[in-house]
Amino acid sequence: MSNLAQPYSEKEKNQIFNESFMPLLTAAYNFAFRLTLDEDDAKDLVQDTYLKAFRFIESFQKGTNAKAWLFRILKNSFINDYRKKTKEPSKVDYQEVEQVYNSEDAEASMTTDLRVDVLQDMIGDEVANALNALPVDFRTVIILCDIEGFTYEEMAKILDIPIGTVRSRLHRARNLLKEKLSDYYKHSDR
Amino acid sequence: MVNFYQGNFMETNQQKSAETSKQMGCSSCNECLQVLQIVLDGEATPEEADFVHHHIATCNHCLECYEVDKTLRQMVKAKVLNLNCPQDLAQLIEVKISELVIKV
Repeated sequence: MSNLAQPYSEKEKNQIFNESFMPLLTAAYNFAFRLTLDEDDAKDLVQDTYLKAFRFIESFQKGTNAKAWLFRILKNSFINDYRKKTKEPSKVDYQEVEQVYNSEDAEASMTTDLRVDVLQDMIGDEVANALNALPVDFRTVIILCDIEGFTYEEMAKILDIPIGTVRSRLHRARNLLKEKLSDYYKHSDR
Repeated sequence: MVNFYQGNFMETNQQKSAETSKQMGCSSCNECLQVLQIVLDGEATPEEADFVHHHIATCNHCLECYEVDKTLRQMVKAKVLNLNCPQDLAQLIEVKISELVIKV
């Protein structure tokens, strides 16, 4: 994402905004909701994001990935303005988590007893609840990868982290998700 | 992680190798499990994808891991709530931007 300002005319700015970014409104709202888990906060977050997108539109290069650019602004706004307000105890200490994780690379599988049929039987809110119960930074990588379909490279740009970190954080997030689902299963009356 | 299977000479080789890898893991399993996520995310090279697909054709343990992770991705996509955008949101943004433009 280049920081070079593009020499857009006022008309071009409006055109780019309306044609490239306004159609992403529903996607942005859903991403905001998945981060904040609150409809009003999501609405505020999207408005802030779009205002920033408009103000900084000269740093958007036409023809590049508008959704990744917008989601990056949204994610940064969330971190700066919303995470402070929430009661979420503290940001996960990635370095620590990732160091622990990477040191155990040999056990890449982290065997859970989760089985395919068990997963497929989860027809209620289990999966969504388990995802929402993850620390927000782990939730975010799963949302960006599995729901939004971003590539590792796009995720690295949105999140400002190296691709290797995207991979390890995703892996860790999925293992946490599997652990939670496995716990649900063990504690359910089946 | 014991030599439990060494005594079962009656098993066919194929069963034995599948069972053994399930219990003990083999060098290929470790490699497979590391690459599997990348394959499922569509980020693997053709060689990596080939390796995983060949391996899971003969290894029950890795096949199961592969299927669980594939299903997990599908479930996340299917089960997550998709909200409609609030109807007034586009308008709110337009108003704020017109205010911004006037100020400037």
